[in-house]
Amino acid sequence: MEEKEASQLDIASGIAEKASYAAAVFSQLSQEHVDRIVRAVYERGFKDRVRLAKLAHEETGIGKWEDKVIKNVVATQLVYDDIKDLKTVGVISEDKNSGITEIAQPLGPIFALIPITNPTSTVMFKILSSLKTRNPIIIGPHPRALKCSTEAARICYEAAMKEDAPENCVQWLGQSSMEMTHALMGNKKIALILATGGASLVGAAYSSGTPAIGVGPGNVPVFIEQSADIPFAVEQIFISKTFDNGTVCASEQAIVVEQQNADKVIEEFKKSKAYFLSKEETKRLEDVAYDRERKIMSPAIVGKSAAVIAQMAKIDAPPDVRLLIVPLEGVGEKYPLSSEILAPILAFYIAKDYDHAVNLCIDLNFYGGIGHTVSLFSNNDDRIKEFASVMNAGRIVVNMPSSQGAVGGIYNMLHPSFTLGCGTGGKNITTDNITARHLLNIQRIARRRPNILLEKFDKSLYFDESLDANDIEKKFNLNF
Amino acid sequence: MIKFTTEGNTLICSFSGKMDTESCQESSEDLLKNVKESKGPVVFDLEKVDYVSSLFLGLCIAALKQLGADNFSIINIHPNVKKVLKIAKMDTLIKLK
Repeated sequence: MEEKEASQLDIASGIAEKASYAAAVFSQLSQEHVDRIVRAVYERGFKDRVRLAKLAHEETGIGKWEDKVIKNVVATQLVYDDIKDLKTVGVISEDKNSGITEIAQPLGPIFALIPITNPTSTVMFKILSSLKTRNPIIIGPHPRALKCSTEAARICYEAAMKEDAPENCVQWLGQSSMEMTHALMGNKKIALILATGGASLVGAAYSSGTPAIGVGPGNVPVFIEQSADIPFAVEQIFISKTFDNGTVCASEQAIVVEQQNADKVIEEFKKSKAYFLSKEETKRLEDVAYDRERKIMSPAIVGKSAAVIAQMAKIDAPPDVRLLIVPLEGVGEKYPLSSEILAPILAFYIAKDYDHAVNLCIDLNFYGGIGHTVSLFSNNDDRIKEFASVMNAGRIVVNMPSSQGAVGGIYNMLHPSFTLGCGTGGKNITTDNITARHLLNIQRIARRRPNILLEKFDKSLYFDESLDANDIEKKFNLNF
Repeated sequence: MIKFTTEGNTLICSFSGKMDTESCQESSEDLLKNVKESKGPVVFDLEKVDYVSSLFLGLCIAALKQLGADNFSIINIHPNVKKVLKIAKMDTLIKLK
């Protein structure tokens, strides 16, 4: 056992060493050369978008290959569009007035963990972002998405090398193991861990001693507020929740409506082939969709279609069912389906009034989705702001599908990303959609621009304890 | 391109140009041969070098393995090259003068 552990450490050391040489060489490249490499990787990734999507679907058994093609398009075309003009090398800004010049430096080797839900898209997104910022990247695939993730990495590397990118600017783990993952996380040559994965993996990243950017789980409520265009809202929710069979962490988990809209909303959902479960069917679905021991969703239903899940749970839904909707009374452990379930299953809540509805949304948001995303359909700008301010979510998407919305670049002007920060509530360092912008060490040259007020001020006054802030301020700002 | 000179039993390898794979496959084979056959210390002179390639880093590691840290050093390092060698952590393995 000890021998095996030592060799995992050795392998990790070897990989980290190669990455640090790549980082050294990379640090010398010009903006023009970097951009040429990024363009080539984008074009190649885009070219293989369908093949990689099918590979991902085949290997993981999750979602729909057609939707994985769209994810690959976002990860390549939209990400490229977002970062292509960024200045990421040398002097990136110069201000004669402030005397401050900013210079972009790379971070160094990045260890990128890849989830099972968006394997090839996350690989290409992270590679493009890293190469744009001159950071070599090491891809750590999810064990059940190993083949498709490593294939995506391989084609990106091939394309980069055709443009004389530094050797080993992209590496990937041929096998996925916890020992290897931990060994790399803790290796001193790794500059940053980009941890897109489950809570324990993200936690391990933050505890490793290496700087890390991680993500959190989502439990997205979608509130169809009184002023919402109901048919539109329902249509958008279908677009979102059926996308890749509900495997995007930002997809809606529960619908909340006020009493007065409830019937209309239910009618619209039924029209588009959503099936509302009975109490007995709910119980059977709970048994199939939720692992009561581990207190999380059951892997067996992740990314399966509504029809397949209906069969698994012996639910009498028509064969062309698109969404399974579960009316619930409360949120929490007593209601397993009120938690995050990455499948075309939605909890459904009817609230007495606006306040009750928002309180339900807060409960859902805080039940395993702090800092992630919430969704709102409304045409009342005051309500929109009110709602947003009582939520704890990095993203409040309004009048759009939440899956595609939170990712950015499709339905809004958020930056396209497959790593969505959840802030401190989610135990992350930021609520940003992570992009290449986060992967630079910015240096600042500061030229002499003395603080004039401080210079002319009689500093002996600071030693007079009888003077308070207001007294000092008056004298400090005299005549300015 | 690499020029070889000797000072006593020290072999001095003076590098110039970019030392990337295309232009230098042959030179690097010569270098490794000379390093192997060297009876004394070896010095890499980087006076004429302003870019560090992956190939060059590989040669440093190969030379280090062949000679050991006591018999190998790198000299005349310009600041931008020094920085690159630091990023590669070469300074912890090889004497940089």
